[in-house]
Amino acid sequence: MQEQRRTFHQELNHIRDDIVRLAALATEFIPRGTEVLLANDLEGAQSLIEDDDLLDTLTIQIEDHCYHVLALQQPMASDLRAIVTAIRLTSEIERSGDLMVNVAKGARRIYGCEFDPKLRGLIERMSEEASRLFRLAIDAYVEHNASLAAALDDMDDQLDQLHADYIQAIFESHHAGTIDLQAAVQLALIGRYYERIGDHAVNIGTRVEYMVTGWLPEHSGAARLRARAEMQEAEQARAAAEAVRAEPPASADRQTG
Amino acid sequence: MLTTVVILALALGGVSTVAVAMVHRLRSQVASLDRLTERLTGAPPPPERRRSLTRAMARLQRALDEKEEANARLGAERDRLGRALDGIPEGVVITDESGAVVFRNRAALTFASARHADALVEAAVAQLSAEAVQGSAGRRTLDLFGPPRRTLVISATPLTSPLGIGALAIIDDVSERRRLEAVRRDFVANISHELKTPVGALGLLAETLVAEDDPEVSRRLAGRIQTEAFRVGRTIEDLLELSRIESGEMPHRDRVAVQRIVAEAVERIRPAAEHAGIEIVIHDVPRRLAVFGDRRQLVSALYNLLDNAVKYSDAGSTVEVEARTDGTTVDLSVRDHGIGIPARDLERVFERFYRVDQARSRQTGGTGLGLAIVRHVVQNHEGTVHVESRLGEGSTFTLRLPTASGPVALSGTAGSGRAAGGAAAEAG
Repeated sequence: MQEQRRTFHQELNHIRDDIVRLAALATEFIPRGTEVLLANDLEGAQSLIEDDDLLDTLTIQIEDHCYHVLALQQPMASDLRAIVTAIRLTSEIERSGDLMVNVAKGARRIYGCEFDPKLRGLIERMSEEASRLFRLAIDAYVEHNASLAAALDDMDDQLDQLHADYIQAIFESHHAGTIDLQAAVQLALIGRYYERIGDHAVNIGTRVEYMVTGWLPEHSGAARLRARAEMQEAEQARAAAEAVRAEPPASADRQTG
Repeated sequence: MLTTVVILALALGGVSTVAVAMVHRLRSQVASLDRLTERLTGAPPPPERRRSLTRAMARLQRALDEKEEANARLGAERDRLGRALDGIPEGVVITDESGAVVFRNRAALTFASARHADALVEAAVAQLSAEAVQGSAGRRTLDLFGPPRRTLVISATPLTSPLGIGALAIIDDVSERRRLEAVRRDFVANISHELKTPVGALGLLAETLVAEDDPEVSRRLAGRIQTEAFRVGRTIEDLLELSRIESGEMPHRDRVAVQRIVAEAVERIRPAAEHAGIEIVIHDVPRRLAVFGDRRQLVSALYNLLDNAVKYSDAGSTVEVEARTDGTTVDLSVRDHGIGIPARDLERVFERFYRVDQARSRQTGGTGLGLAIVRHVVQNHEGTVHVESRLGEGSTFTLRLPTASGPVALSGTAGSGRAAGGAAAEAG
């Protein structure tokens, strides 16, 4: 039994290391894709798009490994949560990589377009913030740090604000005539990709919280629903009791009649 | 009587049988000890006549002592090799024939169980080592965006031993080498351009002038020749000044009031600022604030910062000059609200001839040596120069210099006057 537990935890460590590696690849994509966009680097864009295949391959490997462990080891409680979290995390990380591929493809679509320093500065800042959030999310996972994981949602507000400023700057640029409509729309989509990466980092944090504490935000929602249902039942029971008390007694009628 | 003799004879017989058995066993034990000693030392056992249990045990004890000493020496040697490998900057990872890592030096340990970009280094080492254990040497270059931005070259070769084929992996951080190569390459390209362009223009203009009869056109051509000659002259002057500053000659040191440095530099830039429609705002500089140094060099450094601020700001904006002190150092900062500097260029702006935006730099003029001059001036004055910038928002350059000794006036708020947020770089 001891030997089995040691083997399971070795497998878990292996999966954790693979997820760290997957996250490292995705995190590298963020500044890399940003440089491709700001430097109009077609070669860099192609290279990033091709390297996404590595991310996809590693994602499949990790998921297969997790299913293998689930089938053979049949973990329970916190061990089961760890494996389920790993499966969910690969999806979040892989999707984040895809978003930077979209940035690279967007850069190709607006190749040759010059956009003003304010827009470039905001893109740089969104990139830095998205990268920072992602690294913190992975730190929370490796350290099993539920507090850090919980804080990511609030930290994401900064990226959301930058995104709002960025959209405003796109309007101003287009109004000033420095970018055409097609470029404006493409740049707006690119901003959305960075903002979504921040959301994925928050999702990773949520899953880490679940892994450590067993709690999900949905549990609060479910608890509220249960409380409402219980209140409704209590109301109905009280109303029924009131109705019964309000009925006149049958013997009192016969006496007065 | 006969019985006694028989009993005695039997007893003697019994005793001698036992004695013979004991001697035989003793000889066997001595032989085993001698064989053991021979295995430990490799030396053949002594001749039969010199063998005894006591001597065999003594020889074995000596052999064990020697073995222990040899192991201790081996351990010390291994420690010494380990410390030597810990002292080299490259990461060293040794893998045995089964693929298990048996040694990592200090530099390589930073990548073990690492996260983010360092995890990719560890993965590359593992993959290349696995290939090397199969007999194939390999090499890979990793360009990591981090932050910080780094380039690492990882190489792995098979390592043969009596036990089989293991692997030796080396992790070499070539970031600084790549940066210096880029600096050298760009410097050669830029200086060629900065000198060739005006000289080429001078040749063409002179050729055209020789064939021109119209005095009006000739006057215009002569004016252009003058402009280009001035431009190349400025480049050469700046190069010479930079060379003088870089030569490390100790600047002439006097106590210089910061207020005077600011006043002179602002006066020099005022015409260009007014022409560009930019207002220079000087925040109160404490009158008694002073530094030790060469007034001319310090004014030149501040002037270069103001010159850049004016060049890269839009008409109608302001350039602010501020001086603060914490009692031991003075922070003299120039803040503009211009186009800003991209984060990836911040570390390179102090290189000679480095231009963030080549096209705009040619439009605005300048030699590309201003910030290199600033860096060397502050280095000569045992100070530093620091830049914070955001694209589209502007830049703040801060010269940090030691104050002159003696009573100095402190500003109302202590601190470096550094702008909050923004990317930053320091030189000095």
